[in-house]
Amino acid sequence: MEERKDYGPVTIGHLVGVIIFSLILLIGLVAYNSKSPRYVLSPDESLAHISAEAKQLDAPMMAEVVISNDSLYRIIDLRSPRLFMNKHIPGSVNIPMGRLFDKEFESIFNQHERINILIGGTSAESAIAYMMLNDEGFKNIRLVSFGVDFVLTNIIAKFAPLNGKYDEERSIYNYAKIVNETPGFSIDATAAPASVEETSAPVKKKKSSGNQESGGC
Amino acid sequence: MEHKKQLRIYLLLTAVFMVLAIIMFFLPDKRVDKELSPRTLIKLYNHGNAYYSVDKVAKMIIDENPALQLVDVRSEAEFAEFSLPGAINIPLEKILEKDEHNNYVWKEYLRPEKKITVFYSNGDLKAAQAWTLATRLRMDKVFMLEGGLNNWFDKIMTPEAPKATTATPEEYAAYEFRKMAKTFFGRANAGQAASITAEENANSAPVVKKKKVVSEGGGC
Amino acid sequence: MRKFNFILIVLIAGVFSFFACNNQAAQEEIVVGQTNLANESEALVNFLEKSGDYINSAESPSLIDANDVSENGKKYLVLDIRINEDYVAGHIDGAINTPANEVLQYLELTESAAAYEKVVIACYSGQNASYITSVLRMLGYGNVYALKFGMSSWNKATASHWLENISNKFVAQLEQNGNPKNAKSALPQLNTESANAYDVLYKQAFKVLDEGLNPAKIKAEEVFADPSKYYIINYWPLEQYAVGHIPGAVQYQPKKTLATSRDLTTLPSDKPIVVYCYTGQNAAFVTAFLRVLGYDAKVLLYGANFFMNGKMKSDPILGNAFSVEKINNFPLTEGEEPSKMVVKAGLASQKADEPKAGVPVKKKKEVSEAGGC
Repeated sequence: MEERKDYGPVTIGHLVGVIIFSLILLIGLVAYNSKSPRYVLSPDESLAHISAEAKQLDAPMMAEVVISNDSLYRIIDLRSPRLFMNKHIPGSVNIPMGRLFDKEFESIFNQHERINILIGGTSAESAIAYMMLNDEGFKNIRLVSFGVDFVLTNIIAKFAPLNGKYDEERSIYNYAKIVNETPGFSIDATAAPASVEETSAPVKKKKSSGNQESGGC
Repeated sequence: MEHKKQLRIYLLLTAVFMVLAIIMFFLPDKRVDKELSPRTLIKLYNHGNAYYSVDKVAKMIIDENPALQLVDVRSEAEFAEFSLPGAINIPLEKILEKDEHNNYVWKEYLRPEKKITVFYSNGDLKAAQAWTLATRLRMDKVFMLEGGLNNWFDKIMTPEAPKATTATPEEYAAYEFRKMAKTFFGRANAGQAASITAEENANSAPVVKKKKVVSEGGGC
Repeated sequence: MRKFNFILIVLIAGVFSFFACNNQAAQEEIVVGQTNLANESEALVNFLEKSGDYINSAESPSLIDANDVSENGKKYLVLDIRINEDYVAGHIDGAINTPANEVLQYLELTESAAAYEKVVIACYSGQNASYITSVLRMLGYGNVYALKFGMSSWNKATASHWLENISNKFVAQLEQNGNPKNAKSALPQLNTESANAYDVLYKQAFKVLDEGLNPAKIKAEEVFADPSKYYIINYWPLEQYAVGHIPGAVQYQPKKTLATSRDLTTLPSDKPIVVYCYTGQNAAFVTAFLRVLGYDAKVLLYGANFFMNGKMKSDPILGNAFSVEKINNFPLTEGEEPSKMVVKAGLASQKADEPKAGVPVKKKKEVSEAGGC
């Protein structure tokens, strides 16, 4: 009963205090959030997502998108504006890598109407942009394992993606064969394979020993 | 008087909050300590220093540059079939494997503080994914092999002569280097010459080093 | 002390609000439906026409001359699709013996076409190779070629197929009048249960390659016995068509007309179609294309050479006759595996002497060399 009195009548001092308090709270909040973009996925979750590979378009699927002109898909060109102006995939939108997190493009990524296909000069750009957006929790994005030039010459001009279902991560050459048949200095011929075998072994050994250790504990 | 006292308390509280807010403003994101922010990562990529060209890597291998650590992120089967000299195999799926102390396994044998790590795969894609994860986890001095092994075989193992009419001296120099590099990496007619002494020892030096690392890991 | 409780609560709430806040709005994942296409043939034709329109492009037919293969063979992957016996008896140096119906699998699983400047398919006469090349081209293998006239153009010893199949048998039955094209009708119905056009294409291509040339070829005797049973396509320029053609044959301008915007839909989907040209090779390209679309098309073997070779030789407008001049004298390699001869020849030491760094080593044969060692 006595304590209730402590609150007393509301004065201007009270109001000023509350207003200042909320203002500061707001400023702090805005300041904190402006540090975004932030990762939503942990590195392990991120790796699990990219290992699933369901979000990767191959050459025939890209050809489908370009040829069918399906409005469900939107092609996002990650290259510089200069390269984009020079030549680009019809209907694609230019968002350079460096401006991926710009506020003006947020509405393009933060939506659930269309699927954005990220494509850059190389598949690396597509992969990096995809991981950045995906790890921030954006959905409805796809990556491709080739660059814009590949689409222009080997899909749009004519459908000839070198190997039917083209994927850059497929080896084009038979590596071991070429190396074995390339004439070399004899010193390398003996030393190089040896070092490869030797270096590969420790990694495997290490892994197995590590497992045993953890199992033993 | 009572009111004045209250007002003082409120002002005091306000001041405390202000200080808290300012601290908060400068307090770095807790996750940022362990991880590079997306914006910085993209910036890092855009500076164009994320790649090592095939020529550069070939030169480093030939020079036996001890700072170079090639990491093959393809599958174990692909690695067994062919890999670049001196490369170690960490399949992409296993890149975040941790040891019993909850430390990333790669920290033990990649030694980012001493070595330059170059990830490679058949193309650009897998290497870029490995690069992104490693860079996000603040691993220093990591790079990708530009164009991957397909590009390596295009440029180094099957070099094309520059066109006589338009080629610059630099192009000719690059071609001469690639021709030399090709014979360095070729393995045909093994055991033809008998002079396998000093060079062999020099070549096997990094291997010995690797073994040490292994025993260290095993000892733990 | 209630006051402090109140302040404490506000404080805690405020602090929480800093951390609990996440500015990422929840997004819904779009689920891409896997419904099957309603009209597969239309989607397939649309895909083929908008992705280079191979059969109506300048690149068709993709034939390669024996001279070219002989000169640049080291840069090419040569797939020999003849039966193993004939392959062993004599083949192009470095060629790989692959059964005709396994060429696609070979390129998908074993050897990458992109590693070579060109992939050359060699058969007896050039027609089976053309048939397979056409399908591979549609699938996106942009550097595959058929060896013109097959092994018949390579060496006299392997030329029997062409030499035995040229004649003047039906030259008397030829017709000079023009015949009108059919009215436009629907495309053949396909039912591959695919969600997109490339899947339709792939399934159809696989089926066509798996069946092989047998259901897709026809001999001139059969056609001349009753031409009315077939819708016969004369795949020649008009002026040559006017010189003389199979009775009832309809002229279709090569490299232009087999598009939906032109005359593709004038082809009947309920009647066997026979396609013929001079040598049966261009017709094999067209036949493969039509069979992928679902038409019951057949290539007339050896083309006009089979029944009017003499007229083609004598008539200045016609040309394109097969003659002994087309047969080269390039070396044949005997044996089961390319490796055996290479090792025998001791090429390894030769190679060590000459650096030959400039020549791209993209060749199959030398593998075996390593295997042989």
